[in-house]
Order: sequence, then structure tokens, then C-alpha cells
Amino acid sequence: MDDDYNVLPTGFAEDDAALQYPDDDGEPLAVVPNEDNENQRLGEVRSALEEVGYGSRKRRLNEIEEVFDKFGNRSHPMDWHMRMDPVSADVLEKSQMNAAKRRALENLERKINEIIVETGPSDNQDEPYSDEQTIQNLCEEEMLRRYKRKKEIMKNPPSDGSKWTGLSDVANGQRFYIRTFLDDSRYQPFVETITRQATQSRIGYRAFQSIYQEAENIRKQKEKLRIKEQEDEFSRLIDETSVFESQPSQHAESSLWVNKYEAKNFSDLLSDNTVNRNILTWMKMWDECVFRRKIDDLLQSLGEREREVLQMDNGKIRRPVFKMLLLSGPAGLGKSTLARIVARQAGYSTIDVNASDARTVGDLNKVLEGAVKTSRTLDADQRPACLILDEIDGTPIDTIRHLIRCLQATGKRAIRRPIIGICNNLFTPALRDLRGVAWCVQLGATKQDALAKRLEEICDKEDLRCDLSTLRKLCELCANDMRHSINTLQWVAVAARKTKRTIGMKLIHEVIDKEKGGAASIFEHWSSILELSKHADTKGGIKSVRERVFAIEKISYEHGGEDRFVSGLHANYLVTLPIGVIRKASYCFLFYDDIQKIIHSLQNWSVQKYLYSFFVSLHLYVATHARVPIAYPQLEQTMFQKLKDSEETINAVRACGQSSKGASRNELLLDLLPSVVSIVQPAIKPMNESLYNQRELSIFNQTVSIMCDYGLTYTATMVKDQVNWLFSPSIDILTMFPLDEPKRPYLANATRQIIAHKITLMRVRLAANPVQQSVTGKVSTNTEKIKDIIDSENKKKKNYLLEN
Amino acid sequence: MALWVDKYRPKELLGKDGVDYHIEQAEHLKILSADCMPHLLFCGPSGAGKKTRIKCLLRELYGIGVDKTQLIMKPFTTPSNRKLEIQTVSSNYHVEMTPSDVGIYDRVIVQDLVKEMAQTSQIEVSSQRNFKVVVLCEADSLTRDAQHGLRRTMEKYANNCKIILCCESLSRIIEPLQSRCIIINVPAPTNEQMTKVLTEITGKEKFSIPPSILQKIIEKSEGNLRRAILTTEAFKVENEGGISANAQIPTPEWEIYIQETARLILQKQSSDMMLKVRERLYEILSRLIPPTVIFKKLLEYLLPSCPSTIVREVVSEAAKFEHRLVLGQKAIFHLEAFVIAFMDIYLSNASKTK
Repeated sequence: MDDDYNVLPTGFAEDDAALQYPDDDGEPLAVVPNEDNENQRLGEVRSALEEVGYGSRKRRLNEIEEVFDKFGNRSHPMDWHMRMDPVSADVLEKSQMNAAKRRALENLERKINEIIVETGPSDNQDEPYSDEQTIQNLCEEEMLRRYKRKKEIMKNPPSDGSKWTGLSDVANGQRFYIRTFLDDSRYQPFVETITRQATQSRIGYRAFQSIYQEAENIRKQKEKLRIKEQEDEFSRLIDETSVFESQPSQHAESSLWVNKYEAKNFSDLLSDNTVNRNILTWMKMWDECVFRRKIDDLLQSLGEREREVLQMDNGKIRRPVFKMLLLSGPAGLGKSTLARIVARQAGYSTIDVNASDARTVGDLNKVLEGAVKTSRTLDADQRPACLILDEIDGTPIDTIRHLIRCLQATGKRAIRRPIIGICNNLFTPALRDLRGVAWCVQLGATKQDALAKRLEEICDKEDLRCDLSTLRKLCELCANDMRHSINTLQWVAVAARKTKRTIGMKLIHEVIDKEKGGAASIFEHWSSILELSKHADTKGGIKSVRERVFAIEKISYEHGGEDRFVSGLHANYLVTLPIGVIRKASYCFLFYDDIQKIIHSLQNWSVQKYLYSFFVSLHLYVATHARVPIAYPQLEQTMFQKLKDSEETINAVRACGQSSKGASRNELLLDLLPSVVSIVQPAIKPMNESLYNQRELSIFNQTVSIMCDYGLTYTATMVKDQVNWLFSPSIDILTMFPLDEPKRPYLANATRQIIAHKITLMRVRLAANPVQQSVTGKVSTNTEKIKDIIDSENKKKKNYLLEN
Repeated sequence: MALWVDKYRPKELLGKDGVDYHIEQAEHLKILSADCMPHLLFCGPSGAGKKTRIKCLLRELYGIGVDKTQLIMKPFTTPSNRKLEIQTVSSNYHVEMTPSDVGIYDRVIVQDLVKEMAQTSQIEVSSQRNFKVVVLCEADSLTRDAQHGLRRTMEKYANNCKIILCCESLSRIIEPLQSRCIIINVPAPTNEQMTKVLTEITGKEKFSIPPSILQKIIEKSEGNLRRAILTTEAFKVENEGGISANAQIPTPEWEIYIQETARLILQKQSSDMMLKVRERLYEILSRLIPPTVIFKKLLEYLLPSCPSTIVREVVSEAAKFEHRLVLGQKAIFHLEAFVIAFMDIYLSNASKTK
């Protein structure tokens, strides 16, 4: 018995079944057979059930039975806490009942379908009376026989107080009453009987059909009622919103649309489908370890590309090579939602650790012990846990190191559940080492079309009138940030209701501007510095210099210390003016830089009051009558991000290379790396290593050893659905520029793969043979050192003796 | 099987593996090391061989053990309670670090780490030298505060610990530090010396390179031996199939990119062009090329196309802006101001001559 890996025999498969079959305990007649998507859903459900282990449930149940001896005591007292409670009798019974019910329903459904195909709707009118008679008799008979109870379908409402539903037969203007049972388990034999009898008699077919249709009508009515209720509720909500300000506390519970319309299912996710599927595959690869389920089929079904990234290790119980998934991407992409949904879809409960929790090594250990290394036994939620480390980029570095150690542990201390990390910036220095051991997935921006569609759906549900193109604009303004756009939409909606306006571009702009910068937007301030037309007086003339200076001084007090404001001016000040004027304007920025430097390095804030002269002089130099198209300073932000990435790359090179250690940054950047990039990419043909001739082999080996020296290698990365072998650290991005006519060597993917393999081998060899390595041989402990000293002293003495 | 730069790096001051040029200086260093060694200040252009000489000197002092180095990240805490790390390369006998890696916190490095190392003395006094060595690279980018912080440490713990500073230009080292050290100037090798080194290496690698191309490589590398060797190796890799007569000499892409930018500036002088140039400047800056290097290279490529009447003005403007850049914060403002100033000067000169 393997105690390391515990079995988790739980009822979650049954839970799932119950979740997926809401119709089971509703009216049996309400099953809608004739809708395509219904069938499709059924198919999905079935496959989901199979995936979650419905099929293998029996086997696992057997396994549990082994744990109990004949007295019902547990045979392994040592590991009782590792095991879940066996499925209790009533749960089991219920699930079997559910299965039986489902089977009956499926039969019924199929037969109804057949009937509809066989008999046209016209048949229905044939002998309505006799049909009704028959069905009544049949039911009565059956009920009597089974439950000693009379008449479940009656002509008068039941008098014994049980619930009932009214039915009217349109054909002959009669009304029936059906007694409804609270105990839904009784439906099952009822349905079965009806099914059997319906199949036995020709008359029964039609009777059945008519009842079915009536049931359908009831269902529709109920639906209508529900919708009406919703609308009432909604109008009530709207009324409340209008008095929102007066009673804020009443309305506090999750009315935020971001939460309300969060993706609930896997199919709701807006992120790239392939990525989602790959992540789910990775979660499923844990099944062998977590659920003890064979996953060979899954592994075989993987495509060529995925197989390179998603691999299993060869432990006793196989786990994926990457024990952790590191999701990264800009804010508002739905990373956390994706992680939660994927975990749930794969049958895990989630434990969320984020920046609001303390995250020292001790805390992490506690969470790891509780969630990932053992199983939870005493909780109500019996599903295994999946740890989600949100906002991991803010974690202290020693915690990350500890996490890496845990990920790499084997044996008793091994990680047994998947861990998902989420961060905004993958290239945070703290995550450098983690990137090597985790499977890094960078999520791309949400597609604008999909996001706009989702917003439209929300609009429909919230009864807002808004066209798709406006929503598209909204997405654009929010930079396709899902959370931000939904939030904005909600505020726009509130504003629209308040002012009784329709949602249009103007309103959206207003709301966004208000959100971003007080009364007037930052864009307006930018243009009032760069444009004269913003300073027009009532007669259409331009105000005097004196007045303008005052106006700009006011703006400068508002934005003075704001770097972003100056960046915006810098991005937009290059208007079509003589270059001499622009030259003078560019000096203004130098003045600004000087003042900022004094403020920051000397902490001398008293000079800040002179900043306004920068804004004023810039205005006086460059302000024109022409309209200046103001753009947000994107370029500077992207460059800042790139700068951070580059810094990270260069630090990685300096940290991991043998030869590059000690080399200064400029040395590497200006001389070494640009040459190294071309030196390690000689023209080698991609083929088997044994086919190279002497010369090619020497070049190949040379390349491998140089790359090894500098700590470089290639790693497989997914780029647009394709696996590419890219430099890691990515020195090619660092050294290669978007030249007009790039003339640069480039190795084929296949060759890169061979080289990467060789490098791995070489590193292993170096680690095994420390003699060849230049780092080792260091006397590590004091005792050894002292031993060395004594040895050398002894030698000296000997020499001395010999000499004398 | 390593890069030629690493493979053929001199390992000793004199002898078979000794340095290839500045032999007299090497002898001088050997004498210094045999005696009680003072603090040293190496200065010279990049690629002249400062680091190589420091390594040879350390080897002379401590023997082969000094090559067994390891990389350690040393943590330290700033006065504002930020926890930072600095990368150090150390053996049993010496520590090498670049304090300017941590920017304005280099003062803390000097005050805490260096002092701490200086205070603890060497264990094996009997068999080895009674001092250890701290090598501080890029000393010229040390802040004033850090340099002042070194003064006392250098005097007080001189018996325990010798400091070797390594810098490109003496002008940014404060006087008191200069007076505490023996200054070893390592000038760039002459073209003849470089030719000798390169022919030796290509001979050992059995790679025949036409003398004309070798000459071109040497001219291009401007006294930077490291770059010359790297370029030669890259040239070899690129022309594995055989050297054609008009083979291109590999140039780092950042240089080509700056050259292209200079061409754009000369093409048209307007605010539209400035926007394009700005984008390119951002591109270069984001790849961590030091702004001062951008200034130098840009000027180098712009000057040949300037009429002689404006050369003086352009150079003085460049100097002015570079100076302010070093003092200032945002490199892009200064680079851009220089480009605009150049455009203005160039354009007004062109209109005058018409």
C-alpha cells in the first residue's frame, strides 16, 4: 500500500451528476427532447462525467472496501486520517436512484422522440376522449396497485391538502388536476410504468404525447412567470438605483457586475481557447497522482506541440514535469477566474492565497502542508485542494525560494496537488528561479470582439440599450481590460439612468474622464497647454498672455509633480513648427529634468514651486491655433516595460553564466553578447548528431560548450500555437534591433532543440564531475580549512627536517 | 572550448601565459605584489585589459586558488529598510563586486559590506598573505558619498584588506581616493600590438584570415582588444564556408541601428522626423545601451556629414547635453534635445549657404 499517495474516494462524482442534472428531480415530463443544444449539452455532460470519474467509481469503491475488515473497522489505523469517509449508504442509494431515474428519462425521451417522428401532429386530434380515458384509467390503476392511493390525476383538486397542479385540455375544454408528490423518489416507478404502458398500447402513445404537451405548456407558463418576476425585480432594482445615494447600505450585496457576470463555466471564459484547453490538460495530468486514474489516453491524445511542453516525470506515481503553473498577463484579463474555473472543472476545490495574506516562509509552509501535501479529511468539501497563489510577484524572495524547494522535493515531502501561481509581470526578479521550474503561460490580451460581445450580453441582461460599436469603443478605452470595462459599463449605466440618457460615446467619455482626473480630464489639460484655441474668450478671440499664464499656472499646481502629465506633454509637443522653436521648447524639458533631479536627489521640495515656469514657457513656445491630436504617452510606458525586461535578462545572464560572472554590464551589452549571439548560431544543418562530419561536429560541440559557459540554452515556448525554441535568457531580444535590412544568422528549430538537449546533458555531466568545473574545489567549511592548514604545516616541517 | 576571449586570456603577469603587451608595467606589478602591496587604481579604456591584469595580479598574490571563484548574492538592508542584493564573485582570498549595480545604494555597500570584509582578517596568515583583496569594478560610477565612504576604510584597515579600484576615467574619482592608491594606467593596445595578438590566436585556431580583413577589424574595434577578438571569432563563424573578397565585418547591431538613426537625422530635419528618431532612441534605451555611448556614437556618425563651419557648435552642444544628461534623470529628454539642436544648427547652416 502506498501511503505517500492517498486515495480520495469521494462523492464528488455524484455531486457533479446532481449538479449536471437539474431536471432529475423536477417534473419528469419537463424534459425537452427536441432541442439540438439540449442533446449537445447531454453529450457534454456525459463526457464530463466520464472525465470526472463517473465510470471508474465502482473500482474506487472497491478499493475503499479493502480498508475495512469484516467487523467494519478500519484495517489501517495508521492511515485512517489519510482516507475519506466512505460513501455513506444513503448517498449511494440516492446516486443509484438518480442513475435509474436518468436511464428511465432517457428512455422516455427517446420514445417520445420516436413518437413525434412516427405520428404526425394531426394524429393528436383523432380520439381525444378515449385517449384521456385510457390514460386516466392507466394511471389510476397503477397508483392503486403501487401506493394504495387513489387518483393522481383528478377532475377536482385533491382535498387531502397535498399540492396539485391544474391542467386544461384545450381539445374538449376539460380541466384536470395532478397531485404532485413531495417525495420525488416516487416519480421513478411512476415514470417507468407510464413508459412501459405507453410502449405497450398504441393508444397510450397518443395519450402520452398529449400529456407531454400539456406539461410543456405548464413549463412555458412557469418560465413566463419567472421572467415576469425577474422583470419586476429588475424594475425594483432600477428604482432603488435612482435613490442609490440616499440608501447606500441597503444595496451593498454583490451588485457589482464584475462579480455578477464573472465567468461561471469553462465555456464562459473569454481567454484564448487553446490556452485554456492546455491548462486544463495540465490539470488533468495530475489525475494519476490525485485521483488514481489512468491518464494514458489523455497523454496519447495530446498533439505534437503540446507534448513537448506537457510531459510527465517518471516518479513512482507520475506527476507532470512542471509541478506549478505560472499564469501571467496584464491586469483584468481574468487570470484568477481562469485559474479558479479550471481547478473546479478538473474537480478540485481551490485555496486562494493572495497579497492580502501574510506570505512568509512559515505561512507558505502552513498552506502547503494543509493543502497540497496532504488531503483534507474533516472538511465538508471533499474535493482535493488546488492551491492558487495569487499576486505572486509581490512575494518576498525567500518565500519563492522555499516554494521552489518544495516543488522540487520528491518522496514523502513531494507536492501532491497542482499549484497555480498568478502574476502580472513574469519578469519580476523575484520570480527568476521560479520561471525555470514552473510552466509559464503568458496570456494574451482579451480579444476586443469577444469582450464587446460579452458586454452586449450584460447589457441585454441588465436591459440597457447600447450598440456594439459603442461597446467596442468602450473596450478600446479600457485597453481591453475585462474588469475595468465591465466596471466602467456599470458606472455608465448608473449615470445613464440618473440623467435619463441613452448610452453613447459622449457619456462614456465623461465617465472615464471623471474617473481619471477630477473635474477636467488630463487630456483637456494637455491640450490647453499645447493649443491656443482652448483659451478662447467669449468673443472667440484668444485671451491675453497674462490670463493664459494664470490659467496654466493653475494647471501646473494640479499636475506639477505628476510624471505622467509631463510625459504626455513630451509625447505630444512635437507639432509642425520651425525646428528652432522646437529646440527652445526642448530646453524646457531639460529645465524640468533639472528641477526633478534636485527634488529627488536632495529631497529639496522647495524648488518645486518653480516648476510652473516650465509649463508656462512650454505653452508660450509651442501653443498654436492648430488642433493637436493628443495621444496618451504609450511609447514611454512600453519602453519602460521593455527596459525592465532587458534588465532582467542581463541580470539573468550575469547570474547564471560561468564565464559571464564578473563581466560588467556594459562589457556584456556592448561587446560580448552581440558577438556571442552570432557566434553560437553557426550554419549547422538540422540532422542527427551522428551524421555530422568531423568539422561540423567540432563546430557543434564548440557551440554547445560556449552556450554552456555563458549559461545560455534554448527552451520550448509556445508562440502563436507553435512551439519555438527560443534563447533563454533571451539575449537575442536584447541584442537585436529592428534594423532595416537585418542580416543575421538564425538556427532552425530542430537544430536548437538538439543543442538544448546537448546543453542539458553537458550540465548534468558538469554537476556530476565537479573536477572539471571551475567553481568547485572550494574549501567549504572551517574544519576542512583548518585541516588543510595543519597538513601544509606538517609538510613544511618535513621539508625543514629534510633540509637539515 | 570556450570563446576565444576566455580561452586566450593571459593567466600570469609574465612568462609563457603572460600578458602580450605593456610588459614593463607587468614587471612593475610583479614587484608590487612581491612586496607589501598598496591599494591600486586601474584605469584605462574598455577592452584594454584592466580586468585581465587584475586577475593576473591576484594569481601572482595567491596562486591558483584564486581561480576557484563562486557567485554569491549578498543581501543588505538600506537605511529605508529595503532589502536588496548585490552580486559578488569571490574566492577564498578576494571579493569582486560592482557597487554601481545597486545605483544610489552603493554607499550602503561601501559602508556595510566592504567595511565588514575589511574588518575580518584572513584565516591562513601563516601560509598565505596577511591581507585579502576587494575589487570594486566601475569605480567611476560610484557616487560621491560612496567614494567618501571608502576613504576612511582604506586607511584604517589597510593592513587587513587591499582595495583595487577599476575605472575607465580618472576624472570621476575624487582626489583623496586617487592619492591613497597607486594609479596603474592601462592604455589601449596599439594596432601593431593587436595585430600580434590576433595573428597569434588565429594561428593557434588554424584559421587563416586575410591581412586586409584583419586590419579592418582592428580599425573598427578602436583599441578594444576584447571586441577585436570577438569580432574575429564571429567573422570566422559567419564565413565558415570560405572567405569571399568582400566579406562583411560583423558589427554589433546597436551600432548599426545608431548609424541608421544618424542617417535619418541627416535626411530631413522636421518634427515628424523627430518623432521617428524618438521612437528609435526609445528602442536603443530600452535595450540598456548607456546614454553616454549613444551620444558618442551618434556624434561620431553625424560629424562626417557636417560642414566644417558647424562642427565646433555641434560638438560643444553634444558636450553640453551629455554633461547635463549625467547630472539629470531622464535620458530621453537630453538625447532628444541634442538631436533637435543638431537639426536646427544643420538646417540654419544649409539655408545660409543657399
